[in-house]
Amino acid sequence: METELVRIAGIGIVGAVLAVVVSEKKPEMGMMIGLAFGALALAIVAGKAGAVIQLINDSVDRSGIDANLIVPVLKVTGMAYITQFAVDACRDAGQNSIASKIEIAGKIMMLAVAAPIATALIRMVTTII
Amino acid sequence: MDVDLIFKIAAIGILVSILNIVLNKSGREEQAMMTTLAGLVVVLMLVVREIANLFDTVKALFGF
Repeated sequence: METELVRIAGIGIVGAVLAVVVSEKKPEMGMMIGLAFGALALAIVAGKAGAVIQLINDSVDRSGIDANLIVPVLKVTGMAYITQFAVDACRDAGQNSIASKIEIAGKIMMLAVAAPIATALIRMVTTII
Repeated sequence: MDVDLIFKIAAIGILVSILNIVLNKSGREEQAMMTTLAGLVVVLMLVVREIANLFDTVKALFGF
C-alpha cells in the first residue's frame, strides 16, 4: 500500500513540474497533464478502495443488517468521488462557474440517492415508538 | 503505464509549441494553428480514454 503512495506522490511532483513547463507556452496542454495524472492516480486508488468495500460488505452480511441499506451509502461515495474529480478538473481550467454547477448537480443527485435511507430511518423510528 | 502517459503528453505539448514557433517564424500561421489543434486532439484522445477508464472502475466498484 505504501509503495503505491510513494509512486503516486513522485509522479504527481513530476507531473506538476512538467505541467508548469508546458503550460508556459501552451496553457491547455498543462491542464491536460493535470487531468491525465488525476485520472491515473484515482484509478490506482479506486483499485485499492475495492478491497475496503469488500471488507465492508462482508462485515455487513455477517452483522445481519439488510444489505440494501449499504448500497446507497456506497453509491453516494462513488458519486462524491466523480463529482470531486470533475470539479477539480474544471477549476484547473479556470472555469469556476462550470465547477460550481457540477458541484450543485452532484449534491442534488446524492440527495436523491440518499433520500430513501432517511425515509427508512423515519419509518423504523416510528415503528419503535 | 501511467508515468509514460504523462511524459507522452508533456512531449507532445513541447513538440507542438516548438513547431508552432518555427511555423510562425517561417510565416505559415495557419499551419501553426493546425499543428496546435492536431496536438490538442491527440492529447485529448489520450486523456479522455484514461478518464473513461477511471469512471468505469468507479462505476464497477461502487455498484452504480
